[in-house]
Amino acid sequence: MAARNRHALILHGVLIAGALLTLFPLGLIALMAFKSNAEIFANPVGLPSVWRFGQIAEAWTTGRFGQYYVNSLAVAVPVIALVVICSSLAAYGLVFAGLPGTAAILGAFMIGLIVPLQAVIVPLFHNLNQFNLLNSRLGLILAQAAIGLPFGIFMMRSFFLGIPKELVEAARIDGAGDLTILRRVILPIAAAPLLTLATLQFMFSWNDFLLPLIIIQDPALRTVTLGLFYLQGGTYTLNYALISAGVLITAVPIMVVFFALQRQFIAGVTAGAIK
Amino acid sequence: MAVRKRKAGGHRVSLALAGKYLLFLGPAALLYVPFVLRPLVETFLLSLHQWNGVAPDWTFVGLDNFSRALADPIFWKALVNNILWVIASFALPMMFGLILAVMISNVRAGQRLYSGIFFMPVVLNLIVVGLVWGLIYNPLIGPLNRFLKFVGLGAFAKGWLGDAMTATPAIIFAGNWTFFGFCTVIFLQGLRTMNHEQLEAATLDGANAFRKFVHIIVPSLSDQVRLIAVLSVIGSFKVFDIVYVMTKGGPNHASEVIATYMYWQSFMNGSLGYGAALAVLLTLVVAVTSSAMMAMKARAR
Repeated sequence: MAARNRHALILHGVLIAGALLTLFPLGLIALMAFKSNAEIFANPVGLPSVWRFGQIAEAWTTGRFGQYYVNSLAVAVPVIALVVICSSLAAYGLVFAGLPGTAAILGAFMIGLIVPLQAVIVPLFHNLNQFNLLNSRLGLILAQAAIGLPFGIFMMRSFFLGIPKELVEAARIDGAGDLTILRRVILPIAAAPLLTLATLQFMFSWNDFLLPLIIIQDPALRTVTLGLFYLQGGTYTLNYALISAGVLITAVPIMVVFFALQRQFIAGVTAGAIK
Repeated sequence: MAVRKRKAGGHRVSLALAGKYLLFLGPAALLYVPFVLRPLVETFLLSLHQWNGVAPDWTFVGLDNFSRALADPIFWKALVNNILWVIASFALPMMFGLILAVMISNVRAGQRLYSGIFFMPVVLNLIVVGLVWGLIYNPLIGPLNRFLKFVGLGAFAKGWLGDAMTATPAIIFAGNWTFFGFCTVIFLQGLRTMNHEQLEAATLDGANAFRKFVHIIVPSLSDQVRLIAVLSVIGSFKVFDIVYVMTKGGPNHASEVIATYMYWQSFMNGSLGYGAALAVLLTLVVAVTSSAMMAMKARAR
C-alpha cells in the first residue's frame, strides 16, 4: 500500500510539473502585464514590485481593446446564429425532408470541409470587393459563416441521423409540417450538439486571423485578434508591458469559456478534428 | 383528363419540393455558393492564368505557374519547412501526449483538471501563442536566453526568430505547444475504451510497466496514432497564423511555409496567378489527406 501511495505521489508530482510548464508561458505574460517596461527588461521572470493594474485599463483604452471587443462580439454573435440556423435547416433537409438528390448536395457541402481556407481566400477577397463587402463587418460575418457552415452541416447531420425516423413520422401523422417538426421535435433533443457547435463557432470566430486580416482595413473595425496583431507590429513594438496586457485581455475570455464548457470544447474540437 | 390531372398533381408535388429545397437548403447555399464554392473554382482557374489583381483581364498561361513553382527555390524551402512541421508535430506531441495520457489514466484524482490544463493551449488564439512565444525567444528580454546564461550556456543565447537556422524550429516548438494537449485527450479517450483484461493478465504474468506500455498499450492505440498522423499532415500544411505573427516567413524566407508564401505572392507581390497555383498545390495535399482519413473512418465503421 505504501508503495502504491508513493507511486501515485510520483505520478502527481510529474503531472503537476508538466502542468506548470504548460502554463509557464501564459503565467509569464500575465506577470509582464502588471510590470513596468523597465522592470521587464531588468527581470522578465520575477514578480512585479508594484502591481500596475492600470496597464490593463491603458491597453483597454489606448490600445483600443474595448472597441476591438465590441467588434469581435458584433461579428461572432451573428456568425454563430447564421451557422446554427443554416446548418440545422440544411441538415434537416438532408436527413428528414425526403428530398431527392441529397447525396450530391451533401457532397458539395463536404468539399468545404476538406479544402483549406487558402484555397478560396484570393477570389473571396475580390468577390467581396465586387459586392462592396470589403472592409465591413457584414463581409466578415458572411465569410466566416460560410467557412464554418460545412462543419456545422456535417455535425448536425451526424446527430440527426441518430434520431429514430419514427419520431418524425409520428409527428407528421399528427399533421405537423416540416418546420414545426424541426422546431418542436428535433431541436429540443439537439440541445447538446447545438451548444457544442455554437462554442466551436465562437472559438473559430474569436480566434480567426486570416479573414479579418484581408477583409478589415479600417482600424475602427478591427477584431481583438487583429488588433493584437497590429499592436505588436505598430508603434508599440517595444512596449512589452502593453503587448502583454493585450495578450491577457485577448486570452482570458476564451480561457474562461473553455474552463466553463470544457466538456463541449473537448467533444467539439475532437469531433471537429477532421476539418 | 386523368392524365392532365396527374400532371397538375405532379406540378404541385414538384412545386412543394422546390419550396422545401429553398426553405431548408436555400439559406446554406446562399452563403456557401458565393463565398466558398465559387472562389474555390476561381482559384483553380486563376492558377492557370497570370493576374496582378488590378488589370481587368486574366492572361491564360497554362501550367506555367506550376512549372514556376518547381523552379522556385523559395517554394522548395517552404515545402521543406512544411515537411519539418509534419515530422515534428507528429513526433513531439505524440510522445508527450502518450506519456501524459498514460500517467493521467493512472491517477485517481484530478484527471479532468490535468487534461483541461494540457488541452487549454489548443483553444488559444494563434496570435496570442505567437506573441507569448515571441517574448520567450526575444533576444532582449526573453527568458530563454536568460536561462541559458544562468546555467552557463550563454554562448548559445541568440535572437532565435531572427536566425535563419533556428527560426523554423522555434516556431514549430511553439506550435506544438498547442497540439500536445489535444493528443493527450485523444489518447486518454483511447485508453478508456481499451481492453483492461489484457492488461490485468499481463500484470499477473509479471510484466513490468514498460513492457505493458510497449506490447499492449501502444498497439491498442493504433487508431489514435493514425488520427494524429493525419492531423499533423493537415495542420502542418495549413499552418499560417503562427508563422505570420512570429516571423512573417523571414528572415529572408527562412521560415516560410507554403501558406505564408502563397499569401505573400497573392497580397504583397501582385502575383495572384502564382499564388493561386501555390494554393492549389496546398489544397491537393490537404484534401487528399483529409479524404484518406474519411475513407479510413468509413472503413473502421
